[in-house]
Amino acid sequence: MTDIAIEAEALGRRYTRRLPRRRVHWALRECSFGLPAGRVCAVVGPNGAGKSTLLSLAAGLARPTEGAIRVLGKGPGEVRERVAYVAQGKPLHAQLTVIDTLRLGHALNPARWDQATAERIVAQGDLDPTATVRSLSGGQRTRVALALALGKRPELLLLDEPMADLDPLARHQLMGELMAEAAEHGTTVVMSSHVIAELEGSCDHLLLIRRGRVRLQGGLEDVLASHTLVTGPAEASLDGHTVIESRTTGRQITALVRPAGPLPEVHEATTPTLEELVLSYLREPAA
Amino acid sequence: MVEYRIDRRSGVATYLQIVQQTKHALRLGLLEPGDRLPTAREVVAATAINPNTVLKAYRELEREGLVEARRGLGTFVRRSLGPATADSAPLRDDLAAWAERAKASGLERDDVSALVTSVLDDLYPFEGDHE
Amino acid sequence: MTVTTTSPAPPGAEDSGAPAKPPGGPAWAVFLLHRWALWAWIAYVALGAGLLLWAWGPAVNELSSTAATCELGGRGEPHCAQRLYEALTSYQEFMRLGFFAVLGAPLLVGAWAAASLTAREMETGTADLAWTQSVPPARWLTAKLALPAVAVTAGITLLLALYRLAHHAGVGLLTDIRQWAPSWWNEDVFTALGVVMVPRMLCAVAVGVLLGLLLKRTLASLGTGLVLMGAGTSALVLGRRFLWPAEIRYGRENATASPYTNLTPTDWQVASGAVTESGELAGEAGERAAYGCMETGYQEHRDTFDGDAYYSCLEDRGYTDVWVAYHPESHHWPLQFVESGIWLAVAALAVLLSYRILHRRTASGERVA
Repeated sequence: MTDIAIEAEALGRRYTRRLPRRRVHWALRECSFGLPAGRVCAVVGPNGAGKSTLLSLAAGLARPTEGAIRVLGKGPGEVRERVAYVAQGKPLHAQLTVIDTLRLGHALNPARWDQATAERIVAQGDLDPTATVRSLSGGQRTRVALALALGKRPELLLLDEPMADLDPLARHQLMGELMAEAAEHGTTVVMSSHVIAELEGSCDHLLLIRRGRVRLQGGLEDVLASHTLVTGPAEASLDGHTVIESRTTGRQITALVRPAGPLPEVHEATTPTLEELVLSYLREPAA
Repeated sequence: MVEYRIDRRSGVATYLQIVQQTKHALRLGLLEPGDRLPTAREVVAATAINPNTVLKAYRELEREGLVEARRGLGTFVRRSLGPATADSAPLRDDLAAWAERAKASGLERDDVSALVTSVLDDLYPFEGDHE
Repeated sequence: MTVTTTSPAPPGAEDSGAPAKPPGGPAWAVFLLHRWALWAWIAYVALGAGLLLWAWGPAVNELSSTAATCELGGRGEPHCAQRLYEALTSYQEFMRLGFFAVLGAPLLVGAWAAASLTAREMETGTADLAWTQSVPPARWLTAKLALPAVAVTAGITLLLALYRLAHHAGVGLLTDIRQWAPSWWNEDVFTALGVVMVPRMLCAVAVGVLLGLLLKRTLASLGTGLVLMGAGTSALVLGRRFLWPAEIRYGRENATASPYTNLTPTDWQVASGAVTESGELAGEAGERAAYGCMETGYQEHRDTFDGDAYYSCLEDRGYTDVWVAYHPESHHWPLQFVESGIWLAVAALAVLLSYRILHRRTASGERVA
């Protein structure tokens, strides 16, 4: 096993729309990061930040326009066997039954297929295996899509907005099952989301993308520890420290900073939560 | 067997919650030497937290000599903690008396809680460790 | 609950319950996804086969027995002409419907392949699902092309074989009764007794798959597939005579004003006209001139033709000779092979483009970035 699950180097992906008017759009640009194996990584950012593009590049569903991406030490096309991907819309064949969907997974992954795991994940949901996918609810479809992905026994699992459209119970349940699979097999999980509550507690690595660029990355503990949420008098200086975002209310200032050294005594300093951190970065004015 | 309840809004690091709840179970006698702790798989399946967090908590408990990992079998309790209830009965009485005084002096529940927290924070500072 | 290791283990370390019988790869997956289309195709072939079998059996029998009794009873047999006409019409009608089944197949297959094989997968996103499985996208495409190709080839071959049987069973009687045989260049004879249908069907599958990959929309692909296959078929039917150089015969060398009269019933005349003084073959204008001089050639003796008068009339109008272009029956197979070749070339191009598109859309195996 390689220690780096995904490695991107100046990765860029441009989309060209020809109709009705030619329009060139960089979905991702100059992205460099390394994601250690065995982690559960959150890819966060606002809608349209490039999260889906990044995941589809890793899944080998698109080619980089510039730069390079290596997955499990190889090109994305070389490791299809070892990587599973669940796209945002949870595409499944509507006309197939749940059983046939799993058979399809087996047929397309003959060497690695783990029917027991796939069946267990389906069985844990309250759904009829002989029902067609068409008749399933959103949560049930997500469950089947995850069963299909985990049945492949991936070393790397790429999930694009996996828990969107799920009720809180199903969300908790599926996330639990996902974490259980990761615990058992050491699977690296990369999931994108714009709902930070989905990720808190489950993820231990963070990749924050904004406007197609990586804004923040690293182990969650390190990232949180390197930031401080300060409150203090508005006139006190934060010079020398990197201020991510600050808001002044009357005579008080609240700011998220990356301290470069000891902060002024006048400030009250706490470690931010993931949500506070992410929101600050997303509110940060464009450079 | 213990069942962990994770409160994500508590501000206490998730791994610390597991450590504390395990210790609590040891004190109350819910866990005894030789008992197996739930596997990381079982914990994360129920709580949807990160598996590495559970492993970190178990490592912490192991470091304190409370549990030991037996390869391929699981994590087992090595020794129990003295029952907290018996030892702390007089302390509880003291605290109850103090709370009576606080109430009599007109403090609300939240005020009391804030006071206790501030004293605890001074006595037992956290390492600012979030999970 | 069983005890499991808590430390991360490499995948595959413990193999829990591998199923006994692994299904057969992407081909099996394609079958699973398109079962209903296969049943529909089988039903379609069965319908066409039923029509042709009816023509081959009961319709031909009825025709031959009616013909026999009519001959036995001579002209006096009551309603003989009527019954013979009915039997003849019935046989011809079944053959016509059977032919339509053959002719319509590539249009339907083209539309279906475009809509269902690829476009729908692109539209619903299941293509992404397929392309992220262990089986490489190229093998997925191969299965998507090969299985339908086998199915349509098998189906159309059966229909063509039955058509051939039914045709040969009835064509003798037909010729006797009507006093003329169907010509080899008739659309039904040429298409249903030749080899062009198989490449046409393969082309329908290949073009359909390509359209789906390009357009990514089910309905758009369905319509385009239908239109393209229809247009392609029409173009090749209308332009068939140009697919092989026609023979040309001149009037003077045959010592007759009308070279047509020297054509046999198996010669397929495709064009005619007159030769200008500079030696060019003029079509429509020449044809008008030739017609105009016909009167002169026959003027004096109604039953004999005066060649000198005819050609001097032509020369007055600026032409030296008349000509006719035709395909003798020996051109049947060259025409079949050229047309088949065109369908196969288009099919091959479509297949090539499909693989290239797929290659460009997905990360290939070898390259990094």
